[in-house]
Amino acid sequence: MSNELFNPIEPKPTLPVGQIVTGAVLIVVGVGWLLSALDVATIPWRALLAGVLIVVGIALATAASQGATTGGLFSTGIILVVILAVLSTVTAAFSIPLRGGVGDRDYNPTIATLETEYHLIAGQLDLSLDEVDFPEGETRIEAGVTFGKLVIDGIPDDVSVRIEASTTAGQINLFGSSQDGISLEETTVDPDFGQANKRLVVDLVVGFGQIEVRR
Amino acid sequence: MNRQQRRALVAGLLFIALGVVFLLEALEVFEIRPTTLWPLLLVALGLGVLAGTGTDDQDNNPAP
Repeated sequence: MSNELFNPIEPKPTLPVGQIVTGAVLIVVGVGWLLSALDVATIPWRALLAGVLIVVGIALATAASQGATTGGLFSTGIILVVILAVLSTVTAAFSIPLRGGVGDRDYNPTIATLETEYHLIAGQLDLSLDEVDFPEGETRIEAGVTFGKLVIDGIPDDVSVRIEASTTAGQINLFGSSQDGISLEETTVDPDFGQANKRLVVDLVVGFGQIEVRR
Repeated sequence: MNRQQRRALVAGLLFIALGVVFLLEALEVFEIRPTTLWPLLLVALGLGVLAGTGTDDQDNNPAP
């Protein structure tokens, strides 16, 4: 009797694509989060998550066509779709900019390092302008926090300002004048703004939280 | 291809399509309104459910 008849059929080895991709995705997101928290790099989170969803989709389709195990790929994809849909809805419905990192940020720039835009997704963003020697003419700064607090202080006395602040829900405090509520929009303009040599225009947006501006 | 594989394949393709849409939106190539997005997701969910219906090819056509 031939032994070939009794040879067991060995199952086709399959690569655990799901586990590999899930692990890789967690590592990429973790490294991105770390770099953002350490202020090394600004991670475009929504674009990154969308890219991860595409990779998960490719891995899932490949695994399915080759009969490999999909691990947690399906669950990962569903979670990513829900997160991206909610972020997209929040951004569109409330006109909230979802940019920047997560955590507290404290900026104390000079005129050489002053940027035109500052953004944070969650946390507190402090921007002190006391070391900025503003040039003559108009300087514009835009800052936004999605969830948290935005503080602008140290505005030099020789600079005339126009502040435009808005929040979906929370509090706006401009030079001691405070308002709480939903869909707040506040604007304050120095009386001599039109004639001033040094003019600063600040556009502030907070989704949910607090805006505070002081000299 | 059995039903589970077919469902995973369709889910993968839907994830790729949705990922491209979300990526282009995040890069501000175009804007998606919530009134467009959620019906689109319902359609995608419906396609995924339909992909899971039917019979397994292997079960109905066993090898001779």
